[in-house]
Amino acid sequence: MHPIPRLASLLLALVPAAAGASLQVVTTTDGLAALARDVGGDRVAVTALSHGNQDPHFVDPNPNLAVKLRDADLLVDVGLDLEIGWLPPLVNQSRNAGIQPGNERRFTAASAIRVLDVPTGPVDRSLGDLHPAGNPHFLDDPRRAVEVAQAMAAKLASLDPAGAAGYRARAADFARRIGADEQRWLAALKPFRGQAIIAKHPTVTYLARWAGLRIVGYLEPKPGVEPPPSHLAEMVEVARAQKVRAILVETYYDTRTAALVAKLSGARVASIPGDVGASRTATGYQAYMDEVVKALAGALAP
Amino acid sequence: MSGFGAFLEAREIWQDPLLAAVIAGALLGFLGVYVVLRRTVFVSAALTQLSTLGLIAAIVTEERLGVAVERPSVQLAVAVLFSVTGALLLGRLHAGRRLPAEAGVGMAWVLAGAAAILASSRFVHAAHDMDAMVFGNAVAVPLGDLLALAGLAAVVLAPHLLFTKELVFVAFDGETARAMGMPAGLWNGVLYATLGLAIPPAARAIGALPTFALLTLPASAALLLAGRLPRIFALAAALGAVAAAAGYFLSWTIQLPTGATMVAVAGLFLVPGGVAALLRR
Amino acid sequence: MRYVVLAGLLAAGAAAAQEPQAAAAPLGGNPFARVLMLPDVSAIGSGALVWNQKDVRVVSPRSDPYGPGGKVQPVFQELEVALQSVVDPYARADVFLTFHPDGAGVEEAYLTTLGLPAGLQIRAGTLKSPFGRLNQQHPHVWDFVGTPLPMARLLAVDALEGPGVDVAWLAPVPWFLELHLAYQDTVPGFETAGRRTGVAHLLQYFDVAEGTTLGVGLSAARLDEPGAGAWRDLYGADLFLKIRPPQGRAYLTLQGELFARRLSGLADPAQDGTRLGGYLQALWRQDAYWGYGARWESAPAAGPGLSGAENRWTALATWYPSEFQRLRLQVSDDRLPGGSTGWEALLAMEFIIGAHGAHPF
Repeated sequence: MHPIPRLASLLLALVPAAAGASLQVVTTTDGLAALARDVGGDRVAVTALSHGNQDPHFVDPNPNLAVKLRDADLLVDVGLDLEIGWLPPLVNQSRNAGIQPGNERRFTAASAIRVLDVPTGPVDRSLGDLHPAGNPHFLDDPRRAVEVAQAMAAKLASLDPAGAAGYRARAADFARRIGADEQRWLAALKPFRGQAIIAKHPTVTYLARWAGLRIVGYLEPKPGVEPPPSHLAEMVEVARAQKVRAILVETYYDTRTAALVAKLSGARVASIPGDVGASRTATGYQAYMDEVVKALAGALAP
Repeated sequence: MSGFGAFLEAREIWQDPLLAAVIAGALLGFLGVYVVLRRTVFVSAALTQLSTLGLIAAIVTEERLGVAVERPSVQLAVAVLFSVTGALLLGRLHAGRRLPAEAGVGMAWVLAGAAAILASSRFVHAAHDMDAMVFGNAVAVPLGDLLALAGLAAVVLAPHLLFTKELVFVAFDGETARAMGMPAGLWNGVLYATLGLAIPPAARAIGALPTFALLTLPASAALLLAGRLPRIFALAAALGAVAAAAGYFLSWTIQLPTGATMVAVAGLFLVPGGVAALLRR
Repeated sequence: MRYVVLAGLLAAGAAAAQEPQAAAAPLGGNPFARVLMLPDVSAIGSGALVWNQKDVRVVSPRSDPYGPGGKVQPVFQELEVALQSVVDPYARADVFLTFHPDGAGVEEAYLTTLGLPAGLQIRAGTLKSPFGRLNQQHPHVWDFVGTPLPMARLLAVDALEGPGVDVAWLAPVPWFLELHLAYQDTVPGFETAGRRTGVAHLLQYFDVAEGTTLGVGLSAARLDEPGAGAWRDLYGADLFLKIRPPQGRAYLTLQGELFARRLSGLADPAQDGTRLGGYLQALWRQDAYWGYGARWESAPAAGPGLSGAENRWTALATWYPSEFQRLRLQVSDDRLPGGSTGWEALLAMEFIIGAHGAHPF
């Protein structure tokens, strides 16, 4: 074989083959990747830039991620500055004009939903490490997940008109399936509507709102700040007064503090996965929410 | 919730952590005299890093060996195993005089840290809070951790109280001890093994930085204030216990992170000794 | 981990979030429209307490913060003000102004194209030359305090930089392979006048394993020296290895660069010849709050009457109270040719306020 064709065939072999898929979709998180797979089916090849067990604030802007973005037909991000620390330089390096913020190949999931915890007054960093644009942890509300999936389908349809009908049908199917699941999940949580809970941080605002639970306190006095013991004593009093039965902590955090408050107030610790892919079994959106609801109901049960 | 009355009322919140802090403070303060005089102040950093490495190894081989790393008792056992082994190796290194003690400790620390990163990049999926397996937060100390700390503290202090003379002799004048025919290697091993035993349960109860601080600052303060060894040991243990307890109480009243407050209080104890040393000049 | 938890805000959020209500359109349009159009503004300040055993200014000229021999000296290093924004759909602009003890200046100010075809990207303006690794980064991104001696002596005392154009091509291969060609006016070494400069830089990154990235780069530059047929050629090789298990904040990096400078055709032929230097450093970030590092540097000595290599060994401990502040303690042992050594210690403080664009890897 002549050396040049050999080199060419080697390069061709290295180019990832997306057999049959017509769109390369890159998402910033595993949760968004799960939705993209549900909506896109085999017309899309989905790559996530981070894993579900990774803190999405602190992903390394490894230049090889820029190479993935160069080849992206669509970039799906969460928005609300969640990825501010690492996504912008990668998008700049990608040479992909379409995925710049606001352009036609960029879909920011937060744009499809109503955002909670948007500060209404001036904010600064003395309040802890905060999200001035609003709370970006919205995928644990199934209604918002469906809204994101439908908006994503519309975006995919505009980029790939030949598959438009398929995307819409799959999104409708996703909405129907999750709708049915939602009835099941809400039924499992129904006995606990209106109950008070305590969370480690405000990551569960959307979940609590959806499930009809009231968050009456946080284990951390400010986001990312270790609680002094007096704060825990306060939380124990709050938990007793408000009859809190569950203290929510994401699986990758230490549960010692939560366990102390739980023990003294008679509550239980609910260890919930933070995103799709955060545990071995939470492989898709449905499985992830199943785990969340199971952990919640398990902790809230009398 | 920050007044003294509220503090007394909330006894259930503080009784276990405060007891753990006092035990850890006294234990570390006492052992700190050896650590400071033998110039191995980073020994706690190196040994806890070795514990982390051991836990990662345990997680990687978890399924093959059939150990349940999720259980706190298993975590502590693995941490103690690696810590004691590491301490004995450091002791050998030190006895051999091939390296200055601090250099050996520093190398062990950095190499264990690097190895821990290399090894933990192997497990991509399962989420583990490695830090929480080795280090506590001084605020929430489960009863199991408190009992383990108390039990191991008794095990550590027993040889120190029974064989004080031998340990002190070998630790501070190894040459003479060897010349007199004492089994210096054995006593040196006992000394390092007790360090290796004491550090993991203390770190698991009160955290990394307080452990490091209580192992160095009270002993340094006692060395500045007292002249004779028995008084130095007693004062270091007392200062350690007081620093830990006062730090806990202050963190309650002025609402600061607990571990950091303990470190700050222990640091304050250096002031009178420092002033006394300046005046003595 | 970044939320607002003020009770008042939560209450406001709760009131606004009665689910079925649609968000009402605000009366009178958006009152914050002008604010929305502002570029990202940020400021980075750095200063240090320094102590040098030797009189560094004379025996070891450099750009690091240093003080008079034997005294603890507070120094102000730099205040950097950054203005960053997208210009239009085709380009973005980044402006970095610097204020330092000698005055004020423009550190960098350039346009970057956003969507050129064929993997091309052009930067134009005044910019740091695409030569090696540290030269392109701003000092507040560096792990250690101060420019490595070989970089200051062989490239330029304050980074190789100046007005010009940089064309970068991202090769259509499945790993990161970027080729830079730049034409600039730069001021090398300890010189004062600018020189026409051509720079080439080939940079590659490989994902060696999950969480492990290897970067290798080669650089070359040719600068016009005064006099016919006189040239200054610079060569560089850089290596970067980062191991970061994805689930945590801990990581380990190993980084090194080699520099060579060749002068030829000078009026004084005695100055012709090649000089070599380099550094190798490792950083271990233990968790979100602590990091430790070690560095070795070797550079041609620059003090009067000194020839041969100057070697410096450095240990570093860094405390990050938050993402926006860092406090570094750096201790070095600087060994001049002939065996004279001098200890150096630095306690450096750094802060960042405002919205500062994230940096490339």
